[in-house]
Amino acid sequence: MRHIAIGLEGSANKLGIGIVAHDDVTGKVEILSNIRHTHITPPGTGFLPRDTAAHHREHVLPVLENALREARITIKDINVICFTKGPGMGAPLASVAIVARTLSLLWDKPLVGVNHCIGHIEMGREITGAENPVVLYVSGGNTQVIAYAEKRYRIFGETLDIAVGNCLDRFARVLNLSNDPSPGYNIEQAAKSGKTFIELPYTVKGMDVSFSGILSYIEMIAQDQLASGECTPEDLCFSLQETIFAMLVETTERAMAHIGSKEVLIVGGVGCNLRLQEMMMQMVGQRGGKVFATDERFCIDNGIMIAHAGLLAFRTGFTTKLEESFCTQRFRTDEVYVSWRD
Amino acid sequence: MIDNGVLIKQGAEARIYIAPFLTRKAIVKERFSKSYRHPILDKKLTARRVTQEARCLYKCRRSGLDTPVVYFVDTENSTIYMEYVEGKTVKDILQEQSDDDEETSRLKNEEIANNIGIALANMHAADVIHGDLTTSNLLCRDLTGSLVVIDFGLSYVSILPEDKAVDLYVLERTFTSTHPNSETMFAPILEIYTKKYKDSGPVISKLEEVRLRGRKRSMVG
Amino acid sequence: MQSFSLELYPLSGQIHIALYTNVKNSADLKKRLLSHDQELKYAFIDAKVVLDKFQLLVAVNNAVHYEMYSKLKTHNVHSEIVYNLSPTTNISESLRRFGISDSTSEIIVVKVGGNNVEVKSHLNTLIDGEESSLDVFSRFADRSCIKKYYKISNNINDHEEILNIIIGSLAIKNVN
Repeated sequence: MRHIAIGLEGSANKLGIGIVAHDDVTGKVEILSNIRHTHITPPGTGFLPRDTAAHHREHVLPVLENALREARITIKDINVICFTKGPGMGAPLASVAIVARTLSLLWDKPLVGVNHCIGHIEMGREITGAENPVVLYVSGGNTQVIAYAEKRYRIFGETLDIAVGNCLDRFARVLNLSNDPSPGYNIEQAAKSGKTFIELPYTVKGMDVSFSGILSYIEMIAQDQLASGECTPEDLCFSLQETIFAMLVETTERAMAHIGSKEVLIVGGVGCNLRLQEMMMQMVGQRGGKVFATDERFCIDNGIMIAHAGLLAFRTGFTTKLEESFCTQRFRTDEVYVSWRD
Repeated sequence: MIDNGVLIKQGAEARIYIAPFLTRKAIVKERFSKSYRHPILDKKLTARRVTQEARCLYKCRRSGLDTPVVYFVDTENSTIYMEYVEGKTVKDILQEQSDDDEETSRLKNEEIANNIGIALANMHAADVIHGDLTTSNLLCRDLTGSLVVIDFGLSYVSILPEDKAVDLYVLERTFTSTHPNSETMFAPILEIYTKKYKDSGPVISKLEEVRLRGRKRSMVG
Repeated sequence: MQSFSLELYPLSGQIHIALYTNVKNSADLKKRLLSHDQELKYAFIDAKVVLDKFQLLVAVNNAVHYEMYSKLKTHNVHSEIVYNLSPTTNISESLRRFGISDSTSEIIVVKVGGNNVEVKSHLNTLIDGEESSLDVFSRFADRSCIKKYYKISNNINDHEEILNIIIGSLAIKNVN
């Protein structure tokens, strides 16, 4: 039998709607459509909840129409409507959830609220074929080292303050880099021509990391040394990436050693960064293991991952009642009972 | 490579050998460079960690904590020679418990929790932050049953309750992530810790804060 | 006298350790040391500050290590052995406390290099005292003096634990 889910995501500045089909005879997962529209702000600024929600409201219907058209399905083919329950920014989450609720009533289809992080993990596993990897989840809002055990994705390490993507985004603002397509992408490009390594704080505590001290330190250096020409913005981007990615690779390796795993799956927006992937491959290669990473279609927030993770839960009998379909800004990865895995 | 050494563990950042050292049996921890790291960063980190590990091991030992005795620090080769401790990790002990009946494992856990609590109290009283408290880094000495804290590779000295709280938080999460069945062990550890460490008050309230920070972190940047 | 080589530095040659008791010419030996007499290529150590042979071996190993990497803090590997018995980095205090004084009557001698027959006969001409078995040198250890020099609190009395703290303090002495 074929199951079809539509997924709506808008927990940060990307609005995404995707449609996925699971075939429970062949086990095949088919991506029918994956449409995204991003709220991009001028250089030097970040995205604010209110404006982001307005962006999502403005674009959600055309994105929905595109997703349905591209999938070449009719409404009656859809089994379930999935939406991001959290974590994320309140207003953008709510602006998309209300669309999901409306569709549920309008089309008379069940709802499934999905944890955004679980969406990333399940999509990453599906796309790459990684079986039981240590997951490094790195984005603008999250930094976690995760591994599955006994029906939950357990958090082995995480940031003790800001997320790695947030650190990169905020530093991009300091340098006035463009937010198009994303601040992190532009830092990555600038880092390629960095020549001098500037020592920055390096903060690893067990499997946890911390970025706020590094950010304030590099902001200070930028202020003191850029104008005088002691260093270039490229040097700073290079040094920042080298330092914080080394921290991520180190904690991931520690988790691998701790649980005896040889696979690493990188998910989340920062996971697109090729330098991070390269460093991870060097580490994992030495351990005789394998790195799994996805490209920007799946690394960056999207609707497909919500549809896919939601459908996995739905097929084990899980639904979210209308009155429980509220959003929550804080929703830990390890709160979700993973009924679809052994 | 350590001559006369038998490699017993290829860790993430160090190779561990057993080797004879001046009439004794020693654990030799040789840190190696990580090719994914920028060479400047790599050199700095390796040197810093060798130094801090040796100093913190010694500081703890002086403060009455059972830690391996440091025999020799070879900074040229990023290698520390230390006492070989015959014992089992708490991780292994907890994971092997499925063979025991309920009462036996309850008593065992109680004793282990008690020993861990006392050890952490002593360590933090000496202002040493371990930096990587996991059940793999706690040993029970075969001969005396004493709890030995090992692997000070990420340790440092700090008087801040925040740092001590994060230390405890790291251990708490090991229990939830690695030993979901022994999750309840952390509470008695904390109880003994609070009792034995006279300045534990601010640490415990910070721990509350650190936990909340973890669970309630917002995505908003 | 005992002769052996260090596991880590087999190429540094043989290490020779000997104990002399009832020594009568300490003052003369000390004077010759201070004038850098080239005939005295030995470490002369006051036996009262050595609790255990392992302590001595650790200091010797350290000294040979630093010599190999050209990082000696003192004139030569022999003075470095004496210096490395001390937990502090104050050189003159270390040599005074752990080396011999005019009145030292029990001396532990360490020699790096040379062959044991020659070393032994040379020492017998240098030292006016009786060569004794190394098994007994702990007998001359002055615990209260050792505890003072290594800053070990009075409630630690177990031989092994005192030794452990001594070893640790020597190991991290030059680690900054």
